[in-house]
Amino acid sequence: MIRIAFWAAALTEVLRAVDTAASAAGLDPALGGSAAAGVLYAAVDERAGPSAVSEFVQALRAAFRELAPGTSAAGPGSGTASPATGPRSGPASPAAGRASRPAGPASLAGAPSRASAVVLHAPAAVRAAVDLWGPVPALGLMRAVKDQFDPEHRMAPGRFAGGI
Amino acid sequence: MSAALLPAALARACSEVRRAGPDDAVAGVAPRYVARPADVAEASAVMQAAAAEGLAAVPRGAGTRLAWGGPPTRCDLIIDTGGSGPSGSGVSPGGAVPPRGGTVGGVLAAGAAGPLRLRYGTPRDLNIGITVVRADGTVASSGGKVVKNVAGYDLGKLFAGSFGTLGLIVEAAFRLHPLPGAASFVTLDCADAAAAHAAIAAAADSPLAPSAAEIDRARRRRPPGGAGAPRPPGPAR
Repeated sequence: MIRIAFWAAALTEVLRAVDTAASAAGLDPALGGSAAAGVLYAAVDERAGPSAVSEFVQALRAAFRELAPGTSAAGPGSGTASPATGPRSGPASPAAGRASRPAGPASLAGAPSRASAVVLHAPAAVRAAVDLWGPVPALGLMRAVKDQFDPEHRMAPGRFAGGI
Repeated sequence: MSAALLPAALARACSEVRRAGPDDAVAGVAPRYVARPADVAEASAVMQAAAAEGLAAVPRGAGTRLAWGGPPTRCDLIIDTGGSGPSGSGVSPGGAVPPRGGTVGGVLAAGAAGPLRLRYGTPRDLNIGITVVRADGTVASSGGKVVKNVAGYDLGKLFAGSFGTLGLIVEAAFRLHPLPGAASFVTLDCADAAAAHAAIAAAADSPLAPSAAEIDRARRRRPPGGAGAPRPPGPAR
């Protein structure tokens, strides 16, 4: 199962990216989630091979890189699908938090994407073939936090992104 | 199983310690021991013992999302808090309801949330206080039990989605919302992505303030051998 967190106003582009990536990889994932809050879950058939899932996830991330801040979200509800900016609809994840930042002028190449795809769980063969977390900005900061709380790295080592 | 097979420090720390079985594996990685502390004091003692013995520890609530996240690179000891369900002043009807027998700490550590996140926010958003046991057994608290208590570091935000990598969550307090007096559900078939987006945007813009706005799309092909189109397994329905 793959969690897709995105800037809610880019829903149309995200749904299309899922379809395009799925058909390229020959997959047919079920899709569900809190579309207005910017979180979807894609459930790939557990019998799908590691290479197909890897291709799907990589194609998704490539498409999401194109959804760079500053590009116009051409959907009909552009800019309005995110119902509020208050804490009630706070960002779903660090990724969504990044994505909801206003676009800056320098937000082009290398900038945080407006969407992310994280593999939550998968068979062992798929785990071995796929980068579960994808690009994770602020990994250095997270490592510093880990070192503060668990200097011996004895708490669930490897369960989080970047081997944390 | 004889207590002689267990590290002495661990057996002293906790009244309920056993050797792990095949069902205790975390993402395919088998631990050696399972400790089930009865309270915060025992949890602290278990973590101290694990530190003394150099054991790598993986917290486990009800285990419903133990398969999420990466497989642990080391896994000697499971610290089982299963069965420590919500207690005290009740549970929010928002995103913080632990689904299918999950635990509050597990929901928080897995970064999970359900459809009601739209209106009420995620457990991370609703958390106002947390108590954790650190890797060396130190018990640390942050926040409180009232919304206005905001002094100190916001540990709850840090531990949300941490997958047990920062410490063991032993207590969490959440802001509560009243249950709605009535609820109704509307479904709409959408031809394509743009139509779905328009419907979601219209719902978000309407004065009705929906509690949830979900997309639910089954597989288009029937899975071979499958009885029907499975529902997408969103984490907290």
